[in-house]
Amino acid sequence: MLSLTSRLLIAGSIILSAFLGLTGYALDQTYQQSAKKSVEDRLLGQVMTLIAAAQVKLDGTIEIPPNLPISIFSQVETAFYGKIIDKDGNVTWSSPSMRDRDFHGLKLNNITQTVLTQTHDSYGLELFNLSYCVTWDTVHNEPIYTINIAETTEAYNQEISHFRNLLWIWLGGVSIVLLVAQWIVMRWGLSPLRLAADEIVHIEQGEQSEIEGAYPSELKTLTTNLNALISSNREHLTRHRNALSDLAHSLKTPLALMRSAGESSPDGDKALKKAITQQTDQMQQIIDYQLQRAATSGRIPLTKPVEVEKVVNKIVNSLAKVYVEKPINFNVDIDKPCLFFGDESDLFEILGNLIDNAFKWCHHQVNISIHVRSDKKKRRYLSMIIEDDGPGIDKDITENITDRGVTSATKQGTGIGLAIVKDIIEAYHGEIDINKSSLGGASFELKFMQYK
Amino acid sequence: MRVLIIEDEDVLREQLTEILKKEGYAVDNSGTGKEGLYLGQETSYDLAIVDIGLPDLTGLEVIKEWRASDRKFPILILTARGRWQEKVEGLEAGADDYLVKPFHFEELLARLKALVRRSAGFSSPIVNSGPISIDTNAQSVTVEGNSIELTAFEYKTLEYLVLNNDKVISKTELTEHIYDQDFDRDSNVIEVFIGRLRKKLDPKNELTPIATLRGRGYKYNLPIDDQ
Repeated sequence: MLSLTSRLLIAGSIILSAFLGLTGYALDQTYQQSAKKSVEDRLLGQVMTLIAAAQVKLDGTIEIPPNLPISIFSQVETAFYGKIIDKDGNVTWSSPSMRDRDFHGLKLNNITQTVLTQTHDSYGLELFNLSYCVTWDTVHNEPIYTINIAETTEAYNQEISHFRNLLWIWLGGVSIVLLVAQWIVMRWGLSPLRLAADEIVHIEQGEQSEIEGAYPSELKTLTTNLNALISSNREHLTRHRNALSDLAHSLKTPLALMRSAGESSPDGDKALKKAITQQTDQMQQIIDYQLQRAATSGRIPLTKPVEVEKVVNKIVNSLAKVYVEKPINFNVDIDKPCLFFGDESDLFEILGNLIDNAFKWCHHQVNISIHVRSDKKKRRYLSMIIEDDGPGIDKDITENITDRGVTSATKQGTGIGLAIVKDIIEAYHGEIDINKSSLGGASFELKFMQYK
Repeated sequence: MRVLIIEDEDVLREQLTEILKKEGYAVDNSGTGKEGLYLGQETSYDLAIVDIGLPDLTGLEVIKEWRASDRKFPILILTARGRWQEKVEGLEAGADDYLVKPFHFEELLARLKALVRRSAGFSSPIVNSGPISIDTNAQSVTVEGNSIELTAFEYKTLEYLVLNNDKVISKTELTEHIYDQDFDRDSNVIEVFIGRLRKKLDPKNELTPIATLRGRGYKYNLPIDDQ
C-alpha cells in the first residue's frame, strides 16, 4: 500500500508536469507565431520598397532600376532574395543577390493575396518566401505580377531555439522549486497525522493513556473519538468487572449462609446436609468460573503491556506468606524485559492459579521460567513454564480439564483453577501443555504468540 | 484469643461471631471499615478477620492503616470475587492469609488456628514442652503421653500462656484475651483456672510449668521444644 506522502507526491508531480508541459507547448507555439509574423512584416517591408522602386511602363511591363535605394537585394551577403513573376509564370526580375541560386516563387492571380510559404533554394537552404500579388490600375490591362521576397530561416531558427532554451530552463527551474515546495507543504500538512500515529505507538507502549496533542479540526473529530473509544473501552471493562463481582458478591453471601445453615443445623437429615454442602460447593465453583470467563478481557488493542516479572514477584511474595510453614525453594528465571500483551488482571489469574497449584502440591521445589523465544518461522512468542516436584497430575484429569473444562473439573474435585487458566489462555489464542516435569511433578507450559 | 471481625454482611457477621464464640474465642465485631479500623487501633487483638468489600473504607485500607501504625496481629481477609489480583493486593497490604467466600467454617477455623500459632512463632500445630504436648488443632493436651481433660477456658488459658511464653501475662490481659467483653473482669476466676491447670499438668508438683510473678502476672515457665 502506497503511503499518503507517496500518493500525494506522485499525483502532484503528474499534475505539475502536465501543467508545465502544456504551458511550455502553448508558449512555444505563440512565440513561433509571433516570430513568423515578424518575418512576414519584415518581408512585406521589402516588398513595399521594391514596389516603390519599380517603374511601370505603359505596356504593363515593369522595370526595377539596378541601383535600388536600398541595396540589400544587390549585396551578395544579404539574406534577402527577390523575384517578380508575371501572370504567365515568367520571371521578369530577380534580385542581384540571387546570383546563381534560384528558389521556387509562387504565381498568384488574386490581387488581394499575400502568402507566406516555407521553401528552399537550389542549394537546399531553407527560406521564408512572401508572395505578394500586385497590379497597377493606372496601366492598361492592369497587368498582374507576383512579387516574391525570400529570406533564409537561419535568423528565425536561431531566435526560436534561443527562446526554447530559455523556456525549458525556466520551466525546469520552476518545476524543481514547485516540487520542493510541494514536498515541504505536504510534510507540514501531514505532520498532524504523523504525530497522531506516534501518539498511538506511545499509547500502545503504555507511555501515555490517551491522545494528548492539539490537532487540526479535520483530525480533531477522529482523535477525540479515539480518546473516547479508549476510555470507554477501559471504563466498559471496569464496569463490566464491577457489575459481575457485585453479582457474585450478592450471590455468594446467601450461598454461604445457606451452606452454614445446612452445616450447623443440629437436627437435620444427614443426607440433606450433605446434599446442601455439595450443591452449594458446586454452585460456588460455577459462579467463580463464569465470573472469571466474563471478566477475561483477552487482547485489547491500545492497552499497555504488562511486565511479567512484576506480577510474578508479587504473586510469589504473597504466596510465600501463605505457605510460610512449608519449606519451599523457588527458582524464578525471567527475561528482562518480558511483556505480556494483555490485561494485568488476566495475567494475575493465570499465574496466580498455576503458581498456587505448584506451591500447594510441591514437596519443596518450584521452578518458574519465563522467556521470549522464537519458533521455526522466526515468530517471537512468550513462553512460561511453571513446574514442581510434587506428585504430578493424572493424565486423564488433565485431558478432561483441558477438553471439557469446568464441569469435569468440578465433578472430579480438582478445583476450577485449571479450567479458568485454560479459558483465559484461549481468549488470548495461547496454548497450554501439561506434562511431567523433570523435577518429578507437574509442568505447565504456556505459549502466547504475537510477541512484538 | 481475642478476635476482631469486620464484615458488612449482617447475617454472616453474626454467624461468624457465634461460631467463633462457641470455639472459645473472645469476639468483637463491626459492620463498617471505620469502626473496625478504630477497634483494631485501640484494642490488642490476637487476630482479625477482614472482609475486603466493605462499604465505607475498603478492607485493604483498613489493613494498611493498621500495619502503618504498627499493629502486628495476624489478619485473614475474606474476598467474594476470588480474583488473584485482589488476593495479592490484600496480602501485599499486610494480610497473612485469604479465604474466598463462601467458605467452610472448618476451613476458616483451621486457618485461624494456624495464623495464631504462626504469629506466636510456632511452625507446627503441636507444641511440645518437656513432658507436656499441646495440639493446637485438636485443642488437646497430653502429659507424658497421657491425655488430660481441660475445660475450654482452662485450655485457652494454657494456650495463651504457651503461645506468649516469652512474656509475663497480667491477669487483665488474660481476661481480655480469653473472655468476652461482658465477662466480669474483677473475678478472681483466673487464679482458680491457673491453680487447676497447675494441678492437672503437674500433679506431683515437680515441673512448675506456670510461674506466678507477684503483682505482675503469670509466665509459662518450661522451655518449648523445636520452635
